[in-house]
Amino acid sequence: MSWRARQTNARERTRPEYHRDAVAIGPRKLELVAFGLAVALVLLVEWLGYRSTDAQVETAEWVDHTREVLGELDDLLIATVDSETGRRGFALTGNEAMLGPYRDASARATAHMNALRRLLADNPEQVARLAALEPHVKSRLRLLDEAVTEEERMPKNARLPSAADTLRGSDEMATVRAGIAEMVATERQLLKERETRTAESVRLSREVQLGGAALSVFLLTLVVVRLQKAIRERERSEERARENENDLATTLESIGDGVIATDATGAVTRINPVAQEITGWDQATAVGKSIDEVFHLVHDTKSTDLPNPVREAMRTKEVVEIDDAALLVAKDGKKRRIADSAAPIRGPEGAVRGAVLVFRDVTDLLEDARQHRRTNAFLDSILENIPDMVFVKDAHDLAFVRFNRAGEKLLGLKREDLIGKTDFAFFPPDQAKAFVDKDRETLRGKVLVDIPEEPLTTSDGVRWLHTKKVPVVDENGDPEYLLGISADITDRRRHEFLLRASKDATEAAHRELEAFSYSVAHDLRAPLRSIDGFSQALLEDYGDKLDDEGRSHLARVRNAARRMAELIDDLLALARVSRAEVARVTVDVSTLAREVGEQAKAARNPKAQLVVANGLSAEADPRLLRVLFENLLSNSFKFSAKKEDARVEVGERTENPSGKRVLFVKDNGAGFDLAAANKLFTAFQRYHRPNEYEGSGIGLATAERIVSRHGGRIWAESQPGQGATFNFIIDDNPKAAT
Amino acid sequence: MTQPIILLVEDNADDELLTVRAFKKSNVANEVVVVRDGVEALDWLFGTGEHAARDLSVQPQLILLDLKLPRLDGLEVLRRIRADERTALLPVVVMTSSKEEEDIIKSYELGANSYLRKPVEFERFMEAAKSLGMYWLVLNTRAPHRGPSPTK
Repeated sequence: MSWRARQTNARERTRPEYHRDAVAIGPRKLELVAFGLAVALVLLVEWLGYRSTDAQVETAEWVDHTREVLGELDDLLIATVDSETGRRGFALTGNEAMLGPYRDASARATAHMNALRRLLADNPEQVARLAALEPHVKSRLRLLDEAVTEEERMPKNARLPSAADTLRGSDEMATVRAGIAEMVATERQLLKERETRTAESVRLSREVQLGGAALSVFLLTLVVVRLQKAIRERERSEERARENENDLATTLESIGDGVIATDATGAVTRINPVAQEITGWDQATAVGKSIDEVFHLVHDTKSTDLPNPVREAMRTKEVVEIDDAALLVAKDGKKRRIADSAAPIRGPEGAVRGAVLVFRDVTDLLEDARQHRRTNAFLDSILENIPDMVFVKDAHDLAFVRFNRAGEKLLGLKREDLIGKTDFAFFPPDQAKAFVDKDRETLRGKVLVDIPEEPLTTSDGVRWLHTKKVPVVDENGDPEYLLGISADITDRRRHEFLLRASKDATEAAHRELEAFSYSVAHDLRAPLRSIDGFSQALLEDYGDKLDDEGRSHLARVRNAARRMAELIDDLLALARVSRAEVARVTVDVSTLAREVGEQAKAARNPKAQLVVANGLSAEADPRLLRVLFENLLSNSFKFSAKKEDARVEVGERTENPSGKRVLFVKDNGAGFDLAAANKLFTAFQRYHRPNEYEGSGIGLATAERIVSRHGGRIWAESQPGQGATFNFIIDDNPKAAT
Repeated sequence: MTQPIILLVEDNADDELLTVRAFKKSNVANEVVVVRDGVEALDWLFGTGEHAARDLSVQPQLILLDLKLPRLDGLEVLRRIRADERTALLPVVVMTSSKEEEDIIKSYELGANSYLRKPVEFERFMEAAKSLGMYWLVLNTRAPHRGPSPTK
């Protein structure tokens, strides 16, 4: 399997929840109810208002009606009274003219009665009263009419109001008045009642309107406020959604891991830049493609396809991780080792809406880890192969935590036996204490402590160690470990002892040699001086007593003494050269060669020619260089002494291919056969017979010694009869002096 | 005291003989007092030991000093001569067979007036003796005598 479902820790890992960040805008019941209520209220108030107005109009009509009824009643009373008044005037004056108003008023009273009947038709009570009143009015009018008729028959001057009429008429009139008054009172009462009802209705209507309006305003305000809040919330949530989207986009852009999101079908919905880079698919191409195409895994060794983790995550509804063996095949076919996990994206109801895949290229990481392992193995191998004992102790209890092979070998103990234990477990108490004391000193001082020599008791006897102890500190600078490196110097110690003894012996021998040289210089020369001196004295004082042969013998004695003196001097010079310190300075070789050459020339062959190149110089010990030129120039003049045009030259040339400067001393003298002169530079080896050229055979040996003391070399070029050239390189300076 | 004395410090009888002969041949007629080792040289100069009876008013015009001497070597003798005010200013010529640089340097350091290497060839020995006598006994102006006053 290339992946595995993570059962327990799947949810422990925090990963972004990929659900749409929707704000729940459900049915907003409260607002609807409030709004409905407000509308109902408005309608109710309107209706009430309408009703109230209706009632008022009706009331007003009734008031008018009542006023009309009251007017008619008044008019009826007035017409009745007028009718009575007219008759009375007629009765009193007898004037016929007076009957006009009387008749008019009677007609009016009848008309008003009719009008009242009509007006009060809806009010049975008043109709009944009117009906009760009507006979009395008619009766009154009839009585009047009867009286008038009676009086018309009387003479005009004698006319008197009919008494009968007056009494009855008065009663009837009172009844009529009372009846009208009652009706008026009833009508007023009715008016008053209606007015009160109307006023009440108006008041109620106002209250209802005011209350309804206030309630409506409240409800509408409530709705508006709620709606505004809802709008704001929606705006905020939209803003949040936008921010979330931005954040998500930015996060995905900048995240170091590759992220691919898919929908429930496995089609790619998002792919961040890192994922684009690793897979080789760009966003435009990848989005909408199947995840199986964009993210294709194969087994690293078997090269077989591996199941897509997105599919697995959606199927199992669990986070899945990619196996180590997985390689991602990029669009370009390149394979990369990746670390990955895929997680399902759940919708609000828990259904899988898609998956998100997080992965990174671990090719380098694994390479680093491999490199790290290699480095560790390398360091371990170094530690193990260091021929010195290396150990590490814990800074607190000084127990061993690390030990190398050389240490095991030295102690004759296995590291398993050593680790976790202290020195006291292995060494004699005094030794262990000494070790631990040094450990503590090292840790306290926080500096390297060098212990040039310390004894260590091992199964193999006492070994001597040269130990260095170093505190290994943690990030706070506090000692964490003690690192110790111990070199076994037992053998070296022995060697040093022997070397010291040998050096002492050498120095003693050297001192002896010096004493010997000194003694040679003094003691050997003294007898020679005696031999020569007394031979001379003999020649001077007793020469006349000797024959030529005797004098010749004495001359040979003196000659031999001088040669031996030279030999001794040369030997001493060679010895001095061998032990002299070489102190290099810049030497003016031209001047030196001229000075030495002139002396040699004067001593050996004053007629010879000496040519010294100008500007020669060398980095050399001036005294030794002088001895070198003394020997070489002396030789040259000596071996060219028999030449007519003897010529000795000192110069320089550049050697090929080294580019080094070669100084030379050249003569045109006897020369020699190089093949036969293989021991030219060895002491006491002479090429020429002593009777041809005098000499000790030490000069060239001394010359060679001087050059080799300078780290240079000397060689000769010559042929018999062709002169000789002695070349030497005495310093590294390749630049020819000017 | 007619002729100034030359003090020759020399253990080798042959060299002594040859030196005296060389002076004679070079017409150096001064009295040559010979002492055989370093101790005797100092005894003679300071009137001690076997020379306790010597008249210290008589001081040499020149001291010829060999370096390699029995009992006390020449360099030590030279050091003591220079250390004692009575002899500090006396001309001392070191005459020796050594050509060792060390000996030469030390001799001059200790205040030798001259350093002469005894040549093997008698002729050159003669020349040396001659020029020594000429310079030190004739040409050189001595420092004023500061030795002890004559006891008599």
